[in-house]
Amino acid sequence: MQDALMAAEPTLDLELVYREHGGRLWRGILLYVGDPDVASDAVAEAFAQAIGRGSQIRDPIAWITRAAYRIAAGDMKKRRVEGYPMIDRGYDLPEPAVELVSALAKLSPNQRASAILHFRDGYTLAEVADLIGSTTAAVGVHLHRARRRLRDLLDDDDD
Amino acid sequence: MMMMTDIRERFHATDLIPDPDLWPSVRTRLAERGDDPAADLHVLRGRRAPDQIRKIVTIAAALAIGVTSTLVALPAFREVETKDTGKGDTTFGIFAPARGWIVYGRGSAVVAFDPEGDPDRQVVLFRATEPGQIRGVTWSPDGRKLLIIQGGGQQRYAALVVDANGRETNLGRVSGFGVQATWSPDGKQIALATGRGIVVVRVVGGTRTVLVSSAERSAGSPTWLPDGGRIAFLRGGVGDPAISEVDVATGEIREIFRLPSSPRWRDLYGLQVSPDGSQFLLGGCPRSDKGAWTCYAYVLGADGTGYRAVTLDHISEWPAWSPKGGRIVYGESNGPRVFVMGAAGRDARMVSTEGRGPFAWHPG
Repeated sequence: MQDALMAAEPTLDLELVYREHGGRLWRGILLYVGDPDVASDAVAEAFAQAIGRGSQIRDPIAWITRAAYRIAAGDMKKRRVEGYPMIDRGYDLPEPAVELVSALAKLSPNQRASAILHFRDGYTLAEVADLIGSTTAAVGVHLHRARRRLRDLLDDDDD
Repeated sequence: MMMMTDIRERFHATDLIPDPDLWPSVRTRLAERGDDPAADLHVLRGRRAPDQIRKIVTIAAALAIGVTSTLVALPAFREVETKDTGKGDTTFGIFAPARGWIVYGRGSAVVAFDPEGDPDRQVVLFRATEPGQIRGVTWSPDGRKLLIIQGGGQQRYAALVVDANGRETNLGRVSGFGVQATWSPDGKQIALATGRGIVVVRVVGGTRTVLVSSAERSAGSPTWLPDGGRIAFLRGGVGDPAISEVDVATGEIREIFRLPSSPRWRDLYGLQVSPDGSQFLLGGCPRSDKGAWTCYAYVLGADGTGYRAVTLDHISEWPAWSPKGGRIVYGESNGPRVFVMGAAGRDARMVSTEGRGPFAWHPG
């Protein structure tokens, strides 16, 4: 089976996608769910499903991102993960990221996903809505509240 | 200086978090399933096969023809013809086609449709000279002016008043997500929800006053009450929303109604008081037990009683009152269609095949 996979060029193409985007996607999912195991499962599963679907997928990056966020959300629910394990269990984070991650832990999952995809990854509201299966209006509300909450928690200045 | 910049910079720090190599796990999953990874290289490499290109060209051509035939683009500032019809009616210059019509922003244009007319017919009323998506439109109480909130970048928006002669008054820039505006009943002032809180701006002169600080539990979504002396607004963060009012003269804030602290009542937006002041209308997108967001329109009495969803058959966004408060217009969340229903939530009918809120119904 391994030989067959190695011989399949499309797999190699998606491996390039993974090499280029996988790490950033994984960190996004990690920040969303706060659980490295859930993040790893979600990203690996999303890529595996993308390869399985082959030519049905027109935009692999968008498809994989959407799938990973939805798999992660479902997995969190299935595992009955509560809170934000990365903070609760003292996950070893680089010092500059600690304050932001701690603040993200205090957002609702909807706000967190919207903030990560918009502020970190630069997706528009409509794109965020598409990626997380929400509506543009709802994402606007999530971001509005996430922004204010983060401002309060991080003690940043507004204009 | 900007919150946006700070957040983006702070997120850069998360790039330092080391990530695991998951590719072996991907391969293991494929091996366990016996998936055939054969795929179309054109697609996976971001190129499209010739037959796909032909299909896309055909669809694009069909769409272009359809849009051209259904969208009647008028000049942004056509000649104004103001005349008395003898029945007390006045033709309102560039807004003439809009009397009783419903408007919304599409790209940098304000588009109108007649809720009693052909659902496929759309008219461009106004096209902004500056680029940026129009995020909000609100008619002045007399229907002679239109407040436009137009987005730039970095969550900064231009607040623009356009009059019936096509004259633009720029009220300056505002910041914040969910920018929503409301006119005072005398049409002299506008209240805006901004990153600073609820700000009142005089239409003539542009003087700004921060009436409710953003520190007031995420104050937003203002709606000017018919007596002219108070503005109702939504306040509270996740799980603790309330409808409050502020006295415009004194700045005194009073809570009208606190909504149940439940996920079902989260993510409320777009508060609007009915024309007679007896009811509130607002949108909400609670997350269901199954994890999906579903948007509804809610109506409640001005004293906070009788809180109920009025859209159950159609998932709805951006509900807005009709001029007399007897009907509600709203858009489909997952589709482009626009519906109008009775204020009690019955007799919904599709009035436009295309439209994205927020909507504003011309006073007529």
